[in-house]
Amino acid sequence: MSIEIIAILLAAFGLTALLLANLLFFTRWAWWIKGVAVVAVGLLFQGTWSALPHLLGWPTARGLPERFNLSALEIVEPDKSGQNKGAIYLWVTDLNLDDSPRTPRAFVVPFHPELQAKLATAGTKLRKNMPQVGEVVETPFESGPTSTHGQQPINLDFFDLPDPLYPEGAPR
Amino acid sequence: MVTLVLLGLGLYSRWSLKLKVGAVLLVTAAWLAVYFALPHLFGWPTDQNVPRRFNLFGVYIQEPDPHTGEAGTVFFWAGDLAPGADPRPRAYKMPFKATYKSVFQEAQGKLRQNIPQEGEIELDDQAEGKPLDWTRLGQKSVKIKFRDAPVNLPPSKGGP
Repeated sequence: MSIEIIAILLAAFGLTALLLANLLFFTRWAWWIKGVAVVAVGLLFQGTWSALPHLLGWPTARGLPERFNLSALEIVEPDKSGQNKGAIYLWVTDLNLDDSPRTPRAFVVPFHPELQAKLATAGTKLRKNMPQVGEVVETPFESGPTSTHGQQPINLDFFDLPDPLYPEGAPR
Repeated sequence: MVTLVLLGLGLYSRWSLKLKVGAVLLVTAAWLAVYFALPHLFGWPTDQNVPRRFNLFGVYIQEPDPHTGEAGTVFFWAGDLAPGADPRPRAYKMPFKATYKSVFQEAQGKLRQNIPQEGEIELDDQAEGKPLDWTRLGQKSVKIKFRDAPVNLPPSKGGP
């Protein structure tokens, strides 16, 4: 969990605790109501804190970087009954970040047959040890559905990661 | 719950109106911040709840960096194989260890040869050493082994 999010949560918890303290010391509520409030807020804190790790790791539909290094992919095709809408899962590292250590993040984008074909090619190259760079492109898909179950499809292009350039004069 | 506490304060405390309005605004702002901060958690790897048996989709290894002091991490992307588990792949991370590196690299090599890999976790009761830093206090040492996943072949159309 990032430090910023922990700070936001702790601030929210702290504020709630302050309000609770005020309720305890400055209101004329019966003692049992105050007791219930303390127990309930305690449970709320405990429940929120222990639930947070369960949010981590799952793919997100928001915030796919404009340029990314593709680490892995998983395609779930839709079934004919229409119950399973299909999905494309991507595990990527953001290429727009600075030189800090990069952590891969999991995303999900709506299934589209054209994107599936592009990813099949990119996946084959990945397996051949050819790192793939993905880029979000504005151009719409040439064929296939324009919207997938109400979700706007995301079009991506993939290309081989260029070889790193050697600085001039550096030994090769 | 927080709303109830706030309501109690608003109705029964002896605070001035300004203070009460300020408290309401502050609490609203705090919870809006939490609401908007939560989606930023999704997608990032977790070091908890690693499934006992999983289908490996990807591996990403960050080696320790002696210059920056970064301890290194092994990231992996996997689907839980437990019956009834959420079928979506989930991102995990583990502290870098030479043993993890070698088993994950071997599994990654097989993935590249199109051989699906099934991982299995065992708790390591004889773990040695101490956590690298305070963020790793809750982590348990585990042993991981991989094997080639059984391939689900389509049923044969003709008898032998």
